[in-house]
Amino acid sequence: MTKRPSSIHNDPGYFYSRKLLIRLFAFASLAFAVGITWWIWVDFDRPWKDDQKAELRWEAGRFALERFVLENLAGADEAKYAKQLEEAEAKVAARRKEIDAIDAELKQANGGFYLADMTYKEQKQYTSEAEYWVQEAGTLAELADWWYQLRFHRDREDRLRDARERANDQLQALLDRKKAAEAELDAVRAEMRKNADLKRLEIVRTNIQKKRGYNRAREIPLLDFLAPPVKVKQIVLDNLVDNYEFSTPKKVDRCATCHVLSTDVGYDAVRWPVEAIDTKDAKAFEEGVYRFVYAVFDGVDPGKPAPNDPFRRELDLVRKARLHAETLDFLFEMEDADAGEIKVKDGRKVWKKYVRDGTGLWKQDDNGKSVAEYYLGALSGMKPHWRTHPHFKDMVGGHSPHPFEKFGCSACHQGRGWSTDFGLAYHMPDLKQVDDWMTDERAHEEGYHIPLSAGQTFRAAMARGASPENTGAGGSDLHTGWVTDKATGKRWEHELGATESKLHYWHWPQFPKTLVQSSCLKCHKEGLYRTAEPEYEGVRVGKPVKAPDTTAFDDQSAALNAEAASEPNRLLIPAEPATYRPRELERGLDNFLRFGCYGCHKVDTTLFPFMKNVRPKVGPPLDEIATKTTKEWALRWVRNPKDFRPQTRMPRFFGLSNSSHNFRYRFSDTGNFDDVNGAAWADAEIQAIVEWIFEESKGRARAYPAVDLSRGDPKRGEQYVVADGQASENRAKACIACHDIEVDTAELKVDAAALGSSFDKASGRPTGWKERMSRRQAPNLGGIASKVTPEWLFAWLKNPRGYWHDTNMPDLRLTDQEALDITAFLMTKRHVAFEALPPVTFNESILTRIAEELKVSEQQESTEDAVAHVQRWTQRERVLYVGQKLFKHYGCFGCHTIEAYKDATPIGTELSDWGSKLIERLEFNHAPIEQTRFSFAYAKMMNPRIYDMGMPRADRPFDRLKMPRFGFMPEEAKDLATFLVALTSDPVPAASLFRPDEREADILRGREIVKRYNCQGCHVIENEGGDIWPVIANSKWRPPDLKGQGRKTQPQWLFQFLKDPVFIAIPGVEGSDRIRPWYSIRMPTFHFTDEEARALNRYFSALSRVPADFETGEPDSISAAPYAQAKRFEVKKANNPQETESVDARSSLEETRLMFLAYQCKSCHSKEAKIESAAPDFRLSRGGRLRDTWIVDWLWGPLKLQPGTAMPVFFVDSKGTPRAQELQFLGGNPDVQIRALRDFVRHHYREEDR
Amino acid sequence: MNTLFEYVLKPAMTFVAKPHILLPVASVALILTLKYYRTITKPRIAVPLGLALAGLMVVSCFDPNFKKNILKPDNVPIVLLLFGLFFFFWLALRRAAINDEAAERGEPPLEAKMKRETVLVWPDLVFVELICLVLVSAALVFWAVLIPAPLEEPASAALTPNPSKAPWYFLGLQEMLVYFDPWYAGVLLPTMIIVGLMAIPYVDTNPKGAGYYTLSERRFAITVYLFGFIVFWVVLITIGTFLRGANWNFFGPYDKWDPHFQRPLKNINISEIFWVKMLKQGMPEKWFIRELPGLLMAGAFMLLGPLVLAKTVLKDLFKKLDIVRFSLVAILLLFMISMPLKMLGRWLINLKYVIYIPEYFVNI
Repeated sequence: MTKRPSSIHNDPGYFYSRKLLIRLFAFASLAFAVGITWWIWVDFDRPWKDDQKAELRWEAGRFALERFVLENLAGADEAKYAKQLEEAEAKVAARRKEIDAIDAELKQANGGFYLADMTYKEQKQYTSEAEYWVQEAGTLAELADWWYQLRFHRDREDRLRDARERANDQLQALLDRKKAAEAELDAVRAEMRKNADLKRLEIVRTNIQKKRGYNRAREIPLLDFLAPPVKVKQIVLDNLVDNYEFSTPKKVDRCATCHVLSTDVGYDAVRWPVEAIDTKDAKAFEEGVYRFVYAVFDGVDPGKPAPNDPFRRELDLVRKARLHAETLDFLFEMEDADAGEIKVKDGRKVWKKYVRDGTGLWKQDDNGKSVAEYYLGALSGMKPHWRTHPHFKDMVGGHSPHPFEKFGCSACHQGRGWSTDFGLAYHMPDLKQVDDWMTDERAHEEGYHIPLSAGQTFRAAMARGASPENTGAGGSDLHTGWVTDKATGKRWEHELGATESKLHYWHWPQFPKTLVQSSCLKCHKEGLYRTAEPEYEGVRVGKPVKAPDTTAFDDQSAALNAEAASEPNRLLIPAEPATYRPRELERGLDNFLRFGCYGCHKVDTTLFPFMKNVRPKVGPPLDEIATKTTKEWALRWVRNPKDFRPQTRMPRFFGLSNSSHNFRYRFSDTGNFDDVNGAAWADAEIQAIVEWIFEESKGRARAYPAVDLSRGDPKRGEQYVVADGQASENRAKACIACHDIEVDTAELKVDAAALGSSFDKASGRPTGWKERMSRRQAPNLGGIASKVTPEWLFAWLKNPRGYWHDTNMPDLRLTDQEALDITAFLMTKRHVAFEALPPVTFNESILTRIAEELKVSEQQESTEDAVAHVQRWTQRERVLYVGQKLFKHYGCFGCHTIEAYKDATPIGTELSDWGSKLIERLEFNHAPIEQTRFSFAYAKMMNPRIYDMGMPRADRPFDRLKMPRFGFMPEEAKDLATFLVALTSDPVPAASLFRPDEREADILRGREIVKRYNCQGCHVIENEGGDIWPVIANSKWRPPDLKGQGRKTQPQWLFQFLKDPVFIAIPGVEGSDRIRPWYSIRMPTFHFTDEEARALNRYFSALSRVPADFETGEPDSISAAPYAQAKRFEVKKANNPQETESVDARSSLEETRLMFLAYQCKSCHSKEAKIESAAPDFRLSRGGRLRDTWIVDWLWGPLKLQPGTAMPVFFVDSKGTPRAQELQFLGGNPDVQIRALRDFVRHHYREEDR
Repeated sequence: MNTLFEYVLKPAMTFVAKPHILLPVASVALILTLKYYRTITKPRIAVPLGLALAGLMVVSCFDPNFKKNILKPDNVPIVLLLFGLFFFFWLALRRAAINDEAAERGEPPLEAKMKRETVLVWPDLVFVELICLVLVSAALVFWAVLIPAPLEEPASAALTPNPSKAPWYFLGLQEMLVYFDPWYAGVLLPTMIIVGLMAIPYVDTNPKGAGYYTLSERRFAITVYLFGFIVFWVVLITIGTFLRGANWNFFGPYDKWDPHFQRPLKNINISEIFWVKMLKQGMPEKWFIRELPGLLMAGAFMLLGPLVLAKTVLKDLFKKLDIVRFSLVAILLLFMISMPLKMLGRWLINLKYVIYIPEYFVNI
């Protein structure tokens, strides 16, 4: 290594060998170069680039097709478009110039205002000073002097204030002008959007195709900072932040880097090219699609694929006209797929027929090669994550309430928004339903964190004691669950490198698809508002029918539109796409309210204002329980309410997985460990609670008069209850709109099928339910006779509020006889199986022990003293003591009012920020489930005691988890868990919070009330509800659809009607207490508060987009209504006899009278009419029921407002042309005729009344 | 092979990695190495030994927990540190062995043969520096690409990492905090270390060993220094890095760091041992009487210690140095020795404090 130095001239020589150094240097440089190159390549080679390039090709293809369509099919030529573009640009430029000019002026005005403001404020200080000296003046002379000065300063201040005001006005005027100009600019821009697409098309084509070489150059590593064609697409969100504990920076989203097309309209499945092309011109279509395919495949001619063509597979597919079945399934609606034949629809008409060949592929039946195959084959290459966002109209689109530019992606989806790496963006697989996921082995295999031994311990413990529920050892009542789809996760890990270790460091991984809706509540703290669908449009004849919206993605409305377009006289459903609804979340909230979760769990109303109208306690009051039922019933009921009523909302507290086993317990009195029988312990607790409740209600029990059941007719009662619509005479009460009446719900299957639902036998709940609660609104009445006394039932039916002030049960205004009949019927319904259940045993020694333990736990005296204390009590005292303590311990007052715990605070965990809790803070213990918030909540719903599994505390009865078991169905538990996950306290800037405007707030409140009182059990409201309809055979007897209610009735009438539905009754007139005398089902009296009635009124008005104000007369703009004219003359004449009569007016009135007679209105609109053709009596119009405008609409086209009505159309034929017959009256103008009739009817019957 | 790994190697390594074994083993190994350095540093022994250590590490990587631990981006430098230390330790000792043998034969040391007054700036200085620069840069680039920076989640006061570890160079100090009162381990001991380092020129008057490697001529100085550096610094860093896991528990090199594992330690003071355990009575109320045993022990250690040292192991040094210097050396040395003693006390008898006077915030 060393070389001897030469000694000449003291030359030290070389210490190291130069050759070696040079070699070393060469090696080091090479290594360094390799390292740097590798580094640059690693930095450059990102998977998102390939993705983006492919997407850009798709975009180019789409533009190629669109351009072609515009040029060739829409009758437009490029020059025309170019000219349009030019014009639009000129317009924009002009507006811009205007805005610039305004800006210049603004600059000036700003300066002017600034100066004026400054001078004014300067002056103010002198004025104030002068004021001070005036007050403090010591001598008269000083006073006079300062008075003088003050006057001077005040004058000056006034002048300056005026100047400032003027400057401000000028400024505001300019700002207004600017705003207007900008609005105009926006309008012009919106107009030229299509042309802008064209422009973009040019850009894309240029970038992607023509200048390919240039583009490739810009993609070279290190040169790619020069505006490369593929680049990270990033948006910074002004109004949303990330929460990093120490700072809250603005949210940054780069999701669009890979999901480029998802933020653009038209890449959802395939509809756009099909709809954009008029398929009549097959040849042109073919060419267009050809171009499209050509562009998508980057210039490769699909007809002649090159040998090394990367898309050879797809092109082969195209050439052979063979299509993957799933492509077809995905692309088009299928009909009769099972029959081995499908028709492919292009959105408007049946287009081609396909049959399945031997290989399972779909083949065109005539083997003809069609362009469609090119097209379909091409589309099979489109990947799901390139497609337009599935809820584009609601979530991402520029005109949606949540535009991408403002809300980005990660605001809802969570995840790490700025990552361009699949794994680091924290993509999560969706939830999937698994069965029997609780077994140790299975869960272990799937990789859940389970200490196997804990599960085994638990199982052994369960095997020792009684089995907790209907299942065997293991104590698991989780048969079904939703877990993260681990298989997909593994696939992702394999294909995309989303490894577990990468997923470790982020607290907010993306929500699985199903849970994305949990993000809604982040901003929608005022309520989950969804747009109310417009009710009517195009009612008037002759109004142009809205053209089908080709950008509508909702199949149904598009199809309806198409139909509507072909049939102009039909009620038009507007082409709004179906509004996105977070259905699980909505149902979760509903269940949260329905099951009274808020009774134990607080949700802060300042954080979530939608909770402010929370309903009263869900359970009945217990203060008078002794008058209603017996202890025998109550004991069994408390032991397991589901024994009596499978669907009950009352949860089960005893005999659950953590409390049913036998256990060893160390008692305070002996200090020894004793073996305790879990069931006997539970029975003692139940006994004590029930005894105490009955003791409490003793003093308040009221005596009901005895009821002679023999006077009631059970047969008639049954008819009332089940409302057999056939029996029109009996005026049914239709209890089944809200109640079930059989214990075994399987018996109701026939009806359930009619409702489109079926029942889950295990839980006794309907499984087909979607948004509605239908019959779960109220308790199942099966077996009611085993529960209540007839006296109580009779009194309850007569006046539910007498017993329970906050009940949702309405007053049905029953006569004594009716109430007796119903009572007689219901008292035949005994629950034999329940009565046969073994009684709740009573073990005195255990109860004493419990009393001692509770007394000791009060910690108010020493253990010995507490035990002695209890020993001194009588047994009765001990029972009542334990009962009172346990009533509180289990939080019974969360649902039931009782005097002793009137103001008790809820016992449950506050849930206001549950969704923000760190996973680490959730007590999973040994529960064999995934460690996610959703899984925690879900498992808790299904088995609330699951987190005691294998825990030593399960052997200490008062340390156990207390939440009772509600017996939720898996769907319900999932919905509730979704809701809980949504309750977050993450910071959201005020600007992004949802603030409902007046109308939206009205609708939100109205929907709350409708939900609470189950209005949709009878009525159809917002196209939902009418649960009772299917069981009423005759559609004429069904409760009305309330579509357009706000437009139809006058608010003051509706208000009174809601408060008291029979206020309209005319004394002495039979049947006048109902608008439709033939109805047998009656609208009950709900005893709405004024606030509720007003809110409902506002709700209906808001839905119909009419003001909820009282109508003030003269609402109609057509002043030529002859009847009104004539009446006005009469009034004038009464005041002034000299008034000369207008011949026109008089004859008009006569003509109207003739018309009224000619149409024979009274043959139906009177009580003499036959049931089949009966219509509301005109006399009811005196209440001011209908709105004037609605009557006009109604007479124009009753069928449009109420499909199926018997009301004939008098004035026009189906084409909208006035009918010849009507020409003879009032100059043949139907508008005038209709108004005249309306006014005539109203005033005529008023007169008659007088 | 697998059986060997599972049933011999793993238990053996786990046993050795127990801190109360590891520290004495490391100490004994150091003493033995310094005693038999001439034999042990011979390449035919040292190279297989080094290879064996590396092989042990490679074989251990078949265990996922071990692999995860040593390949954690944070920990890779510590692994490099250990091998680097091994190499340079060997290099210095090897040269010292050659020089010492040469000195015994009356020959000049190796370094004397290479001695130069001057070398050329180019290529002997700048070129070599350039090569080093490029090589180190290349190595850093490779390292950076292969093992990216270990970025974790945003910091949160509400959710701290478990375990929360100091930077690697402070892990020795953090380890000391486990055994001593913070003011002692965090303030006094570091001060003593710095004072001790500063004192070296004044107490170490031995002129030998300048400019060449030797052990026999400076045996005491080198031994003390190496104890301080290797046993009390590097070994503690190693313990802190690889063996301190969740909840700051000790974990064997093949154990999974289970955050649920808890071992609530109940540590007791000397005074409690004396009054309660030995005399079976309550604690005296007066702190002075209560802490008398501890005070006596500490006093005896610090006051009698130098005397004992002067009569025994440091006999020669006592003769060479004056009384002030010797006292300084002895006291610094006793401070150093106190550390492993206290640590062993903690591991073996759960010793908390020797002197525990919370009344005056004096805990030792």
